[in-house]
Amino acid sequence: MKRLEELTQKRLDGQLSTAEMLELNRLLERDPSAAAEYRALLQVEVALRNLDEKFDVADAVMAQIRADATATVPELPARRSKLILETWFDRWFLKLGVPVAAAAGLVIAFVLFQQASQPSAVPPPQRSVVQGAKVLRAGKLAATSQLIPKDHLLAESGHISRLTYEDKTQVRLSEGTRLIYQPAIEKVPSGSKCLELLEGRLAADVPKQPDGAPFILKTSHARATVRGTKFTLTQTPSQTRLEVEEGRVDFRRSRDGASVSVGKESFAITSEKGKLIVRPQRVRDGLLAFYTFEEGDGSLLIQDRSGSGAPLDLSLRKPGLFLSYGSATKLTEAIRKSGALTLEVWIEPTDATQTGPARILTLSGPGSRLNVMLAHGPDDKRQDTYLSRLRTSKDADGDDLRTPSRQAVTKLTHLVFTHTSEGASMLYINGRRVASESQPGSLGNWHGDDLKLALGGDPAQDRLWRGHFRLAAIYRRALSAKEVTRNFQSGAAQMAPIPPIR
Amino acid sequence: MHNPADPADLSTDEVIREIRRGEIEAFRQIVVRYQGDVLRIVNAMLLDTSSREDLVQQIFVRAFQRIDQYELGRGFGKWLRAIARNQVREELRKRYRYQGRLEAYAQELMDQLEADEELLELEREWERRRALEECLEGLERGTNEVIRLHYVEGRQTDQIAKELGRTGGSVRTLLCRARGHLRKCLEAKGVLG
Repeated sequence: MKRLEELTQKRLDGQLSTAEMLELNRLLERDPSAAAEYRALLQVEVALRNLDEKFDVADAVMAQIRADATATVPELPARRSKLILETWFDRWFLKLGVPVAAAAGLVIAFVLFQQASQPSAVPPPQRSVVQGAKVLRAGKLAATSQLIPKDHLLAESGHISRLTYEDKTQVRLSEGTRLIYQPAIEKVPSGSKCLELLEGRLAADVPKQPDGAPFILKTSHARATVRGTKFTLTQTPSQTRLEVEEGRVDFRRSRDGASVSVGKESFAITSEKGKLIVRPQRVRDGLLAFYTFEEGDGSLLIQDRSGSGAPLDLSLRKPGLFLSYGSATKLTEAIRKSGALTLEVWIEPTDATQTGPARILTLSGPGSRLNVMLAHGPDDKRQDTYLSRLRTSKDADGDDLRTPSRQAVTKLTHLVFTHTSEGASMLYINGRRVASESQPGSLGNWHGDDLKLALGGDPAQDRLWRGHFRLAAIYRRALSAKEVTRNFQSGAAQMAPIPPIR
Repeated sequence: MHNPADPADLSTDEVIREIRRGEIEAFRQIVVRYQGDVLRIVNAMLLDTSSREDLVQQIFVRAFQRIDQYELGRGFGKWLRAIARNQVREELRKRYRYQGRLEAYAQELMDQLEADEELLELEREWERRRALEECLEGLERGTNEVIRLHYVEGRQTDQIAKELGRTGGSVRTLLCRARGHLRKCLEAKGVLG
C-alpha cells in the first residue's frame, strides 16, 4: 500500500509521470483493495479542499464580465457622423481656402500612389463582427468586436469564437486558432471576403457569394476559393487540409499553382513538399471508436478520436498488444442496442500466414468470453486467411466467417467486417466483398461490463497477431458496400475525424 | 425610472431580474452566494489547486453569458451546478484524456457529488465535513498546522516547508501520513462511501 500512497500523493500534487500513471492504473485494476483505498484517499482530499473558506473570485469574475461588456464598441449613429463631417468641412476647408485644398490634394495623390505600388490590405466587403476571440490591432489588444482590415484574431479557450458577416456568412474558430482578417495579399478581387489562416481550424458556412467576389482563404500552403458552401479548413505547420461538407471549393497549392476542385464529402490535403491529394471523406455516421497509428509512432497511449461519448483510449500493455483503459462499455452497449456493427482496420501483416487465430481486434474478457473479433489464420493451422467471429443469441460460442485463402498478404490491407441487425455478415478486403453469410440471432446476449477492446492480441489468451496497425474504427451500424469502398478510397493515412466546432 | 435595490436584500430570482435589466454589478451577489457550491464541484475533480480559481471564474462567466436561458423559479442553484458540472467534465476530458482509470475515479466522485446534491441535499457533505473537523482535532498540533496552511491558506508544500524551516519532502510525507490517518478516522465514522 505504501507505493499506492506515494503515487496517489503525486497524483494529487499533479506530479505523476506517464510511467507512474500507467503503474497506478495497473495497481488499481489488479487490486480491488487498492482501488477502494485510492477512492477513499480521493474523498479525504476533496473534504480537505472544501475547508477553504477564504476562496473568493467575485472581483475576478466581475472584472472579466465588465471587460467583455465593454468589448462591444457602440457604433456612432449616422446622423452624428454627418454632423462631425460638416463641422470639419466648415472649419478647415472653407476657412483656409483653395490653396490649402490643392496642397492636401497633392499629399493625398502621393499617398495613393505609394499604396498602389504595394500589396494593400483588402478592404472589408461588409461589416463583420467577431465574438469570443481576442482582436490584435497593430500589435495591440483592441477592445472591440468590429473588425478592420489586417486585424489579427485569436480564438480564446472557453469561448464560442465566431466571425459573422452581414450576408450571414459564419466562420467558427476552434480554440487557439489564429487568423488575419482581410490581410494584405495579392490577387484578391475587390469586395471579396478574405481570411489568412495562420494556425488552427475554422469551419465556415458561406451563402452564395456575388459573382466575381468569392470568399478567399489563404494558408501557408494553399488558397481556397469559395463561392457558397460549408467546409472546414485546418492549418498545421506541416499541411493544410480542406474538408467540404456541401458544394464545391477550388483549392490551389501555393507552391506551383496546381489546383483541384473539391466536392461534397471530400477532402484535400497539401503540404510544402508533398502531393496535392483529394479523397472522399471517411464515413462518420455511427462511429463509436477511432484510432490512428502514425508511422513509427511508439506511443504507449493511442487516443480514441471518434468524438463519440467518453473516449475509449488504448494503452500498449506488451509489445504488439493494445488494450482499452477500463471496460469497453460504450461499444458493447451501443452495439447490443443497435444489433449491428462494423469493425474496420488498415493493417500490414508481418507474416502472411498466422495461427491462433491471431487476434487483430477483439471485444473480449476474462474466461474466454468474447463478443466479436477479427483474426488472422484459423485455429492451430497456419493459414493466409482472415476471419470474423461473432457471438449471437443463436451461437453463443461465436459464429465464424472466413475469407478464401491467399487473401492475407504482407502489404497494407483494408479489412472490414459488417453485420446488419437482420443477421447479414460480410467481410471486405480493400473495398471488395470477399465473404458473406447469414448469422441469425440478436446481439442481446453480448457479454457486458468487464469486456475490453484489444488490438493485436487477446487480453486473456495472448494469441498475438504479428503486424502493424495504421487505423482502426468501430461503428454501431453495418456500413453499406458503398460506404466500405468510400473508407477504402479515403486511405489509411488519416487525420482524426474532425468533431464539429461549436 | 427603475431604482435598483441592494442586491444583498433580494432573492436570487430578483437579483437575476436586475441583471437582465442591465444591472451587471448585481451579478457579484450571485458569485458571492454560489461560489462555495461551485468550488465544491471543482474540488471534486482534484485538479492542481492553482487552476481551480480560473475554472470557477470561467463557470460564473459562462453562467452570466447564458443568464437569459435560466427560467425564473426553476432553482438557480441547480441550473448553475449543471453548468459547473458540464464545464468541469469538459476540463476533465481535456486534462485527463490519457489517464484512463484515474479519470474514471474523478468522474465517479463527480457523479457521487451529483447524487449527493440531488438526493441527499448536501446532508452527506456536511456530515463528512463535521466528521473531518473532529478527525482534524485528533491530529498532532504540528500536523494540524500543516493541513491548515495547505488546505485553508492555500500554500504550496515548498512554501510551507520554508515557513516552518522543514524540507519540502518532510512536509509532503507529513501530509501523506495525515491523509492516511484522516481516511481511517473518517472510515471509522462511516462517512466515506
